[in-house]
Amino acid sequence: MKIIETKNLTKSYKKNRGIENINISVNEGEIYGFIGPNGAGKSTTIKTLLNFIYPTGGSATIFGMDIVKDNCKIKESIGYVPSEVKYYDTVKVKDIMKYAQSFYPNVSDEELSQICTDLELDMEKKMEELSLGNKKKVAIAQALVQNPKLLILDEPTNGLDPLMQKKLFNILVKEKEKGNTVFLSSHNLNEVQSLCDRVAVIKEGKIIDVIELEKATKTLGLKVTLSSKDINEEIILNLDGKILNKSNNNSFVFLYYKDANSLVKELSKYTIDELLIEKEDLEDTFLNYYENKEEDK
Amino acid sequence: MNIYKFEFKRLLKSCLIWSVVCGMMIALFMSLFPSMADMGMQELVNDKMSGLSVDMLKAFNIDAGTDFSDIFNYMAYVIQYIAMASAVYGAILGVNSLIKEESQGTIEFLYSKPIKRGKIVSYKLLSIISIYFLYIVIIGATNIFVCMAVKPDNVELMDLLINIKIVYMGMFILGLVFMFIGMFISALAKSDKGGIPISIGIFFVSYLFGIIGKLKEDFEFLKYFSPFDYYAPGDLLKNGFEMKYVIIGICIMIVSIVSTYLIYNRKDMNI
Repeated sequence: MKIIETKNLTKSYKKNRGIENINISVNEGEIYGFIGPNGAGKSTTIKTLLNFIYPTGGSATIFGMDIVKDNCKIKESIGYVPSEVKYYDTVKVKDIMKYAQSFYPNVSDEELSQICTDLELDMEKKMEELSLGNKKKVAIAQALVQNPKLLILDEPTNGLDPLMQKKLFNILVKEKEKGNTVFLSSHNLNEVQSLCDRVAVIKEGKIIDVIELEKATKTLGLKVTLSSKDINEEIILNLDGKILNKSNNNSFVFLYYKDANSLVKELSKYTIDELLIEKEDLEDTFLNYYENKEEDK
Repeated sequence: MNIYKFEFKRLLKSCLIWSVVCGMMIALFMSLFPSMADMGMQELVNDKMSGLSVDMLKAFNIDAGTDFSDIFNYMAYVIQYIAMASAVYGAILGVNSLIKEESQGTIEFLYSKPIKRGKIVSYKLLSIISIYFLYIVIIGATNIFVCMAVKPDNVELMDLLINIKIVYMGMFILGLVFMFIGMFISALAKSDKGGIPISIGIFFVSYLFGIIGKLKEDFEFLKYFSPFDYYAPGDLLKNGFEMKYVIIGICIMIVSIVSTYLIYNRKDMNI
């Protein structure tokens, strides 16, 4: 079953660029990443899906229901964590949680207190007294209150320390194990690549690719960083290397998709000052998309 | 009703502050009445007032028949300033009601929940009306107690209660008119910057229209743009509610609230 499906979803503004013909399809039980640089249209897409703003073209469904007409019904089964948590400053965490609970008649006090305990919330503190990470915890907790079938998170790693990030990812994996779906946006693919099943790459308001991470990881090559007076661009191209970066003092960063042994054999013919061979990460692939796109222009 | 309860609780503190401040002003004004009723003072005030032009007196809602030694005349005069403050308070409640959630980002919490936009408007409206009603009850009760303490022996308690009731009913409706206009502005606004200046502004611009309408016969129609003059305490005590003004007030409220629902339902939230 498709949990989210958009058809040419468009939101245009008078002054700013919005999103254009977004087509994505999120399956039940998957963790779907929505990746792009700041200002690419990630939040606009999420806010359109949640009916904070109205689309100017196309359509979208969540759980098979229209995001505009049925937004209230849809939200019965959605938990949303905003990018910046700006909840009622002077209200205590316990009151925020009770307020969240009050929107769902079937949520018991025991379930609520279990979530708060799991996330170690400081219930007596006011929102304004919390650190960024703790505010995020409250946002996550209130989003989980009704055991949502779909969890939407806008830049969830923003402002989180690595420990808190790990905790968050564990929660998301648990949600997936329960059969729930997670849709999250991020500007940093590296952060979420271990977590997501698929990612859609968005740039300047348009989806430029959808990557299946398992498949893509298998086809990853080697990322080589080297510095040598003997090696020039031509030699690297002859090796079938795909240059990512070069500097004037004969330093190169390139991707290599053949066997590592053959690379080492080839490079041993030259005097090399510095050499680093590592597994290509998806972020490089991701950057490639952007750069290629820029070149196409 | 959860939104209603949450909003009511959140607004309660500022409501109590407004009530205490206005209550203290009422107590101060009314406690000056016994000295105002004193013969010497009366002569002094009448002397000074006769030196002022009729137009100037009209602008302050004072006419030839105003007698400050009469507790009701005196109350009508001083309470009009409380009515002005109340109208501004009503407008502030209205202006802040919707747009504040967007500007402060809290709408991301509220509207991610299964709630229709129309219901957000309804519950918020209900909560600000209740808060404003509570404010009116507190300051009205203060007025009653202070008046009971300072009233001359020849004034019946029942007359006092009836007159205070009509003044505060007027003040309640006046606040509602500005509250509904404020809520309409709140639905239209892109940010909550200037919420309080706008609230004060809409009141005083309309009040100015009222003054011009009173001073220049050619511009008498401008009185209709001043809700304050529909329910001015002095007029209410003299003539009671004028049906045409009650109807105009209700029409303003209906137009404002219907527009609020329509605009808010189609609005792109500014977050």
